Amino acid sequence: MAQRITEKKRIKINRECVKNPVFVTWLNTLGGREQWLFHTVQTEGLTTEKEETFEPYQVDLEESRGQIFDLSVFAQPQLILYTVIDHEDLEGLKSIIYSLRVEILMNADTWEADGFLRWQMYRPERGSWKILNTDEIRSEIEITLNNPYINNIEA
Amino acid sequence: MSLIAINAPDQDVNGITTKWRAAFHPVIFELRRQDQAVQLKQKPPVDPSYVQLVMFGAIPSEVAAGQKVMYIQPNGEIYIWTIGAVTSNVIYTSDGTISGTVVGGSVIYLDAFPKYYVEADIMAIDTSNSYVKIGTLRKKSDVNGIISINVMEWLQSQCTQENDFNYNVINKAMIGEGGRYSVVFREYNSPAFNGVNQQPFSIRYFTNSARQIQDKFGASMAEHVPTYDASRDPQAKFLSVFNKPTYFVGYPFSLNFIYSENLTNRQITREEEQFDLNGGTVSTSSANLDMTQRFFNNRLMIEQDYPSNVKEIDVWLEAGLPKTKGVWFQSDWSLTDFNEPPSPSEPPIKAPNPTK
Repeated sequence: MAQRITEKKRIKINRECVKNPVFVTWLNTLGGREQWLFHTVQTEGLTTEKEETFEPYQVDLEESRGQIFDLSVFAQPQLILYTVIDHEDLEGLKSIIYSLRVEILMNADTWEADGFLRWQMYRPERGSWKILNTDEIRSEIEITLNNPYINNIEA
Repeated sequence: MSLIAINAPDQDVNGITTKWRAAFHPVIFELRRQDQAVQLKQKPPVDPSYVQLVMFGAIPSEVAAGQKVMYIQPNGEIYIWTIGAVTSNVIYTSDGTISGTVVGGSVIYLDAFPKYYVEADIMAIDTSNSYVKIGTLRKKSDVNGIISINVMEWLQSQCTQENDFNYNVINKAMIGEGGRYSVVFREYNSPAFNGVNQQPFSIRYFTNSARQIQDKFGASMAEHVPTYDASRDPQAKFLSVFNKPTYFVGYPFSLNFIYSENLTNRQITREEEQFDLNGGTVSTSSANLDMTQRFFNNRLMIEQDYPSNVKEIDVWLEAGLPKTKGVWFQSDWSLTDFNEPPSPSEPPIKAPNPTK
């Protein structure tokens, strides 16, 4: 006789038609993989840092094109995701912040027709996070992901 | 003699042993050295001032009077004596306080083989049952003849992070999200079995996971390992941190579960119950899982394509009666199973492919 061998997992079905979907999966600490759909609005940002420069001696001031020459610049695009979620989803969603592997589906609109999924790795920005106020039933979450950095030339 | 298993990184769940461990915590195997088997321990009637150990076979020439010997009785009691005299197969100890006759047991020659050590090969086992050595370590025994090894680091080397599931089959083993392994031991500088492969522990399993303080069962994944046990409460959990995961229609969705060796040859089915907005049951469904994906951390897809009135679903797994034909037999080659464990160089035993 067949016998139940696992818990009964309740799964919610979300059929909302959304604007600007960003579908994310990540590895949790149990050895499983989670998924969530962010939508409506995201913020794209760009941070540049770690520049190396060179300032030569100005031999001919009249003919000089400039004083500081850039040798290298590190450019890091970022994507800030927003969502408002019920507290019952908070425990699951916050695991994205400390996951070792977060991936965004790049062919979200066509993956079924394509027959394959194209994932790109994003890295959650490190820092301190306010997750929830315990007297609220919903929380607004903002997660900053670092895109793959821009490969740049060097002088 | 050979090594004897003392402790394995297992967990008992309602009387059933589960062998799955989180790879990011110590995974420790303990063995005891056994240098020679004892036929009889007794006080010789001629002179009861000492204890006599009658051995099976000749005593190694390295053993001499004045050395320490550890005697382990079959009931686990341990005695350490100084050797008074040695004949071809009898050790006379200098301690005469112990009385009684005991049949069996083993000895460790603590001083005769000071360079004794154990070499352990950690073997990963892939989906085609091929053994691949992923590491080797050497350990000496402690003063009680115990060898303790931690294979955590090598299991971690087998963990990968990529999501390479194509969401096109009901369930699939995900290599890197978990796996199987075995440890093969060899003794060196010992009285016997030098360099001979020994496998005192059966195959074990790991997941690419880390447990938290005060988690039930500690570093064991037992909480998530399904067993065929109607009295178990609660049943095994899926590997999701969401209390209620969300399926976004039109996007990939999967749940992870451990397809454990405890479900030997049973057909596993995915059961679903679909609910409307008021919590009323709309319909139920059942589908067979692919049994060839077992012994690994699996992804499970849900049925999908639900009618618009379905708002939530319950999904769980059930196990049926063992299949006796129509499926190929693959045990996990435990020493207690009906199949003998193959050595790492031998291919596993398979039944012929079933005819449909």
